Amino acid sequence: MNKIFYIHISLLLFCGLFMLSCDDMEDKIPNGNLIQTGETSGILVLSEGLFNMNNSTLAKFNFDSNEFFPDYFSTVNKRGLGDTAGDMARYGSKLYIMVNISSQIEIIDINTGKSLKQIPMFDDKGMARQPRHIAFYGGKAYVCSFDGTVAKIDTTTLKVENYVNAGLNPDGICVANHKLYVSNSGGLNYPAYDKTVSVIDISTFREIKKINVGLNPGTIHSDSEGDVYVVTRGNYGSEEYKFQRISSVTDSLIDSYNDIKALGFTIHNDTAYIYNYDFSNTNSWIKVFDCKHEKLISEQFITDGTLIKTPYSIEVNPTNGDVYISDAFQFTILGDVLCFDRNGKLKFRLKEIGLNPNKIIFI
Amino acid sequence: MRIEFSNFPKKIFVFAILSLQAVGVSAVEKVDSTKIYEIKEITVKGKFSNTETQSSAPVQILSAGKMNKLNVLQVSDAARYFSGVTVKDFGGIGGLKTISVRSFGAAHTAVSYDGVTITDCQTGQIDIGRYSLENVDMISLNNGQSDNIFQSARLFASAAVLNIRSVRPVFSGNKTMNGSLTFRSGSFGLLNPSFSLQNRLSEKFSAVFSAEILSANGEYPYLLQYSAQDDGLVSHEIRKNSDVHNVRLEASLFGRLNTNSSGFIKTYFYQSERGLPGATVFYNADNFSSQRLKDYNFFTQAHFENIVSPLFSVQFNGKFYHGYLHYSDTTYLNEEGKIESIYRQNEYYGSASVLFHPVDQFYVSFSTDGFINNMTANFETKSLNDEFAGPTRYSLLSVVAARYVSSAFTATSSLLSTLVSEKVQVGNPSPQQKRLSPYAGISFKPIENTDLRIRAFYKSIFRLPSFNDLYYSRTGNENLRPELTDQFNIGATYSASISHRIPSLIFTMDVYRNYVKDKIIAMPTKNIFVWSMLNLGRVEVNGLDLTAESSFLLTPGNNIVIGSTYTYQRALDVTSPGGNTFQHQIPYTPRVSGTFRAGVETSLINVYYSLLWSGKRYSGFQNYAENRLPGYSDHSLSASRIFQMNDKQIHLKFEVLNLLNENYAVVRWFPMPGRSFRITANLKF
Repeated sequence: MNKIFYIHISLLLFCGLFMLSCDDMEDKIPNGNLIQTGETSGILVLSEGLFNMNNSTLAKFNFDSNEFFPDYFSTVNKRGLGDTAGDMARYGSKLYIMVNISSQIEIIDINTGKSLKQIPMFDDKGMARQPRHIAFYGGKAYVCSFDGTVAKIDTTTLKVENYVNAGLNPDGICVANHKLYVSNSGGLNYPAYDKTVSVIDISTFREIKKINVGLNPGTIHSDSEGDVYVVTRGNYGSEEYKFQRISSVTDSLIDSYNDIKALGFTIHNDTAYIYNYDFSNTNSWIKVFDCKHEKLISEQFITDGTLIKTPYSIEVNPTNGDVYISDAFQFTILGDVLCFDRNGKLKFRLKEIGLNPNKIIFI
Repeated sequence: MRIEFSNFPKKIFVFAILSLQAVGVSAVEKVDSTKIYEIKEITVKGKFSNTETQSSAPVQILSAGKMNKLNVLQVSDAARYFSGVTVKDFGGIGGLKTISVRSFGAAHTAVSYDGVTITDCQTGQIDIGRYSLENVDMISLNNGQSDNIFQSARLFASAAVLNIRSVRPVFSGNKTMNGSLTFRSGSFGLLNPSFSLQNRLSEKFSAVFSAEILSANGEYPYLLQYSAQDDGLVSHEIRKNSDVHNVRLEASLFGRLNTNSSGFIKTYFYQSERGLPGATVFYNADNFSSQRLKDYNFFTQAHFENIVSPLFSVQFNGKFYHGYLHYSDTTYLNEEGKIESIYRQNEYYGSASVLFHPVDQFYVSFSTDGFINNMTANFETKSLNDEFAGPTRYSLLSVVAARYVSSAFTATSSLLSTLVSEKVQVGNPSPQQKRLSPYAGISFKPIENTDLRIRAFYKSIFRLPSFNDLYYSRTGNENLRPELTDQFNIGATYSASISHRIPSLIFTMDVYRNYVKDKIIAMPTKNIFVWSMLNLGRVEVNGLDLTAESSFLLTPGNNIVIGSTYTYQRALDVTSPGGNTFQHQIPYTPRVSGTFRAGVETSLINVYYSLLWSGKRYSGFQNYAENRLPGYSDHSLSASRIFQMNDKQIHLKFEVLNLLNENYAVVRWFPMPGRSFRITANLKF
């Protein structure tokens, strides 16, 4: 009987011991980024993460010292950036980061990464404004937010000075001809999307016009001639993606390039680099557009056959004209940043740099 | 979302406690009804004849008596004590709680209430936090399916079944009425009065009525960590918008017309209003705490069974269900400044089963279930209303099953046919589904006089896409195929009554391999903001489940009871070899987890300790450090005493939950409550 008793006890202990052991699951290590790029200086890459996961990151890559800091902001500031950081832009020595769902504008010193100010973006009732994008003009920053407003922030005092109303869920802002152009997406108002671009006079800080464009406008940039280009994303059904041009002189829509189904773009030296990703057949392409002569220069920027699964942002290095494109893959895994020379040949790939990398700044 | 607790009828179990394991499903399920038939399915031997060790597929049982020792309030709390189970818990009494069995998604586990499946065609998963344990006699979990082949076809139609069985009226001596009055209160504003009455109406009929109110403000403190670094910023926060207020009413009429015929009719009504606390978004936790949910559901179901002859029995089940759900978010930045969604679902269900017993030890059954589910909706704008699909699903399930039982060997096999077609008011319906799903299980006892059994089962089954998967505004994909699963299980069970001091010992071990194909996952297919559902994933699961339980008799009236479970799950994404997630453990699935329970029962006081622990998990598809959620352990302790006064009984209980005040989350950014207290007073008369 005693023997059985001990067998019995040991069975239970056996179970107990199991409990303390056997977790053979270890963190996997992301693909290394210690590659020689041959570049000097470095880049900052903003990754928005996923909604409600508090995992937006700002990564820093020092090319000359070959150092990579995947969560640079958090390492320096001992706190995370927040939820769904959608855009960042540099003005002087300061970097402004729009943290959409956390509803904060994080302003950091671009050289040290230290937070200089965190501006909470809430209205009088405490409702989150949800900042999306930023543009600068004459010492002021203009931030459009999903609550339909544009905020004017002084870049010295870092205080919000005023608000003006635009349309529904603004999702892009740029400056042309002393005016702000704000694309009103209505993205949260599905299926009744907005289809206007608000024109705001900077000196009076008032909306002076709403220009009708395609359904669901998003990314918006201007060229040196004062033309404003906007991507309209349609309704994912009958209404297609389009690339459109607005004149800042007449404040009217002057061109609609219906065959350029764009998702995003950037303009550098009056050359637009436009990307699209067709979600229905998973094809993607990068096109090059001459903004001076308003015509397509290249149907396929990438010339060496490099495949990009899901282009998610595009930037041009102002110092040498290299084109950086981020690939978000299926949005739930870390994305890459690829650098191409101006002829569309891959120079290098930075692997697994962040979850949904959506903005690159050159430092 | 949910509720609560349990009484403690000590009917069948001699030694109770600890285990996730226990005694006979057939025995338990059938005690009140088809006694004559089903009792044959188990070999009564000693004090524990038990389906848990004799079944061909693993089954774990928690009786009300056992649950009373576990510091549990709602079905979801108790289900955490089953091995192989992960309860996805969004925290608080009101937070969504769904069950994942052996790494399958929640939609693969059917939840049955008194033998009839509860359905939610909208999400495909059941919030088991909504089911109170107050009027529950037993819950059990079948991997694969039950060895009981005399049941409705739906109970054959899922990868696992969680059974909830409500209290049956039992009258001792000449009593014609039993009553129970409970008052419970605790931390975070918990108030939970309940009342139940059992009445013997006549020789043939008895009735049970049960009512319960639960209310809590749910405002529990938690620690918000803004960085994974040790010296990172932290803040002490209070969970907001976590209140819950619900009412449950349940009435049943049981009849035993003669020795061969019995049945019941029951009506269940549940209404709740609650906050849906969002993720604890950095710097903006409050704004995502404005979502509210009001809902009610109602069902009435009937069961009748008749032993027509020694060779032939029949049973019928029917149910009508209506569910109403109103979701609102008053901070949404659309034109209306809010989301208001109202969903209504109905189910009409009928089932007929026959059981043949042509020769000794051999049974054959046929069951057919037909049911219709529909859903309607109202939104804040006309354009949303106009595009809502308004789906109706027609299902016909038929199963033929056979079972052979002897004292040393049992074998069960079934083949299920599923026929599903849908209609929609707007858009295109999902194509018709026709499937055949096999099951086979065996159990045998290699050594005579030793209750060691070897068991194995195979099951192939699928889950249908939910209405949300198929038709949800913008994200639905009506061409989705069912998500397929294959399960292989081999196990051993051992039970013994070693001496009068150790009246029971049960030990089970199962190893299994599961495959999931055509896993339904959300992917952006129209736009980065517009995710849609696709059949994309493949998962391979290799797992081990262990359970052990025992009791020791110290001196007469003084016992020690202990038990534990251990689960190992290697649940790997095998979707695309060479891909960035290949062979990464799937999200929210710990490699190891387990439970431990121990109690000391004396004539003076009963003290119970219970532990839930889990290894680390990953919140994302990649097993990288930034996605890691640390493991946790959650300890609870209770002290209780029963005072007997003539025919009345008072039971007092004091519980401390999460004793070590561990700050943890099951779902990332949805914190669980820290240390809390609960006190319960129950009067039985």
